[in-house]
Amino acid sequence: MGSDKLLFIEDLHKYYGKHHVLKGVNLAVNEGESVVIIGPSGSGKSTLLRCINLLVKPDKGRIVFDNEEITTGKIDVRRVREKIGFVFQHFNLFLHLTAIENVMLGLIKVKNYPREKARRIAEEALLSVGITEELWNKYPAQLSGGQQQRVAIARAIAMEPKLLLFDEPTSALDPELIGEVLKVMEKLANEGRTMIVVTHEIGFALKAADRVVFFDDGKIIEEGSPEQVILNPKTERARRFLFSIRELYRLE
Amino acid sequence: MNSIEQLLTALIIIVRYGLSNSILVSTLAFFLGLILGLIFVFIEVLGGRLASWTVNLLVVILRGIPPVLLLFIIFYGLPSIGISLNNVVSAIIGLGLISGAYQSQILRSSIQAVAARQMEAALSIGLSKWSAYTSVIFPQALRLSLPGLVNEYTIILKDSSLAYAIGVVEAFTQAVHIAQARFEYFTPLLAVALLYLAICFSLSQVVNYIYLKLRVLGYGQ
Ligand SMILES: Nc1ncnc2c1ncn2[C@@H]1O[C@H](COP(=O)(O)OP(=O)(O)OP(=O)(O)O)[C@@H](O)[C@H]1O
Ligand SMILES: [Mg+2]
Repeated sequence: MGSDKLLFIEDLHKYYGKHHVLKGVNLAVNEGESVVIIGPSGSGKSTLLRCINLLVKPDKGRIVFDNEEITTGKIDVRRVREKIGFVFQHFNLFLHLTAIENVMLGLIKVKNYPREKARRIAEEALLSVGITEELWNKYPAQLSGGQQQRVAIARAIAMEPKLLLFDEPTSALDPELIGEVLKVMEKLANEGRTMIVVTHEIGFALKAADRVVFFDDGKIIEEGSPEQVILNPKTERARRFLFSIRELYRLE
Repeated sequence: MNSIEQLLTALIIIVRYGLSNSILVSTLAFFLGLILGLIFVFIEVLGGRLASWTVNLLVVILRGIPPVLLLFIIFYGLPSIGISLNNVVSAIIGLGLISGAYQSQILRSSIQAVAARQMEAALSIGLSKWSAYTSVIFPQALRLSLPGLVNEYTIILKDSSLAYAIGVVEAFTQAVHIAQARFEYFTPLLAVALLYLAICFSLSQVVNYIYLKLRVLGYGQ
């Protein structure tokens, strides 16, 4: 394992009861790389992301993150999660806190920063995702979906994570709001952040991903450069799925 | 004295010499219930299997007891095992215990309403389970519980009239005393009914206002 590998997943399995959801996933992600995962609904993409930040405990296999195996019992789960940002499909902002308080919470409670320092960092993070001062003191319900998701991204990046996970970050958004979120994500990818993005936005994958992974039935079926996997998939399953998506997005 | 005057004098007497006890009993019972409810729900959420099973059993028992029976047990029954409490304290404890069971359920259902996704988000930024509960789940659950808790207060207020049975001179008792003195029941009972109604109505307005505020924060629909 080279030291440029930030994440290394080996033969990962997960069962929900008898339901075999992850069936031996192998994936390595380099520092600075952005990987897009594409695949049909129910194939286990969310479960994979949740295993990576230990929201879900895998049943078999290994995950090595930041040169440390995190699938052993001894690991400090909180320290791992602190280093991994997670952006959810439904934003999951804390509804009782304002935009800026959402970003500050982790800085204060997890990093133990004093309020002033937390506020400065939060302001910077919000500005970097295009959330300007007049929105800082609004509650999530007073923001548009696109703004909420950008606040959620700010909440994740303010913690200075080594890895960002996105689970279908735009699929709960109205079409006209998708662009503003993708733009922020593109910027993050271009800044050289390490990220894994589950999405069906193949335009984003083509523009911002270093690698695309096609995931089906709990396994990685195919991976390669975005052009190769999206425009010229080798396997029949990937071809069929990507064809239906391309139809949907009228790309090409 | 015409009947309006009779109604008004009855009202004045009830407010001056009974209402304070009603409010005292129901308010203290409410807060006792809130503390118990919070303890119950803490144990259910954070405690082990056995602890939360015990709490559940306790809640079932408390909900199954007629309030007046519990008041009798505390006021008339406990002295035989050496615990003597005065009637006001007995009423507060009895109503508070029962309310604790109900309040724990109100709190629990709000916790369930906020829990799953908010918990994931809280854990994903590295919060401990404890911090996730204290800074994310409970503050929201309390807000969501407010309408239910205010409703619960109106229920206790009405139930506090049961303290009549163990001789607490509260609003209802006072109305009965007036009736017995005047040999006329209707007017004083109407007076005390109007009083309960007025308080409950005002509180229901408070509940509506809270719902409105909650909707602004994005809870419910
Ligand atoms: N907590 C759970 N308990 C039981 N089954 C689960 C749980 N979470 C997911 N599953 C099941 O595991 C399978 C994979 O789910 P997962 O959410 O990982 O898929 P996905 O690829 O993210 O799908 P989608 O595109 O719908 O988000 C599904 O069949 C789902 O029903
Ligand atoms: Mg999913």
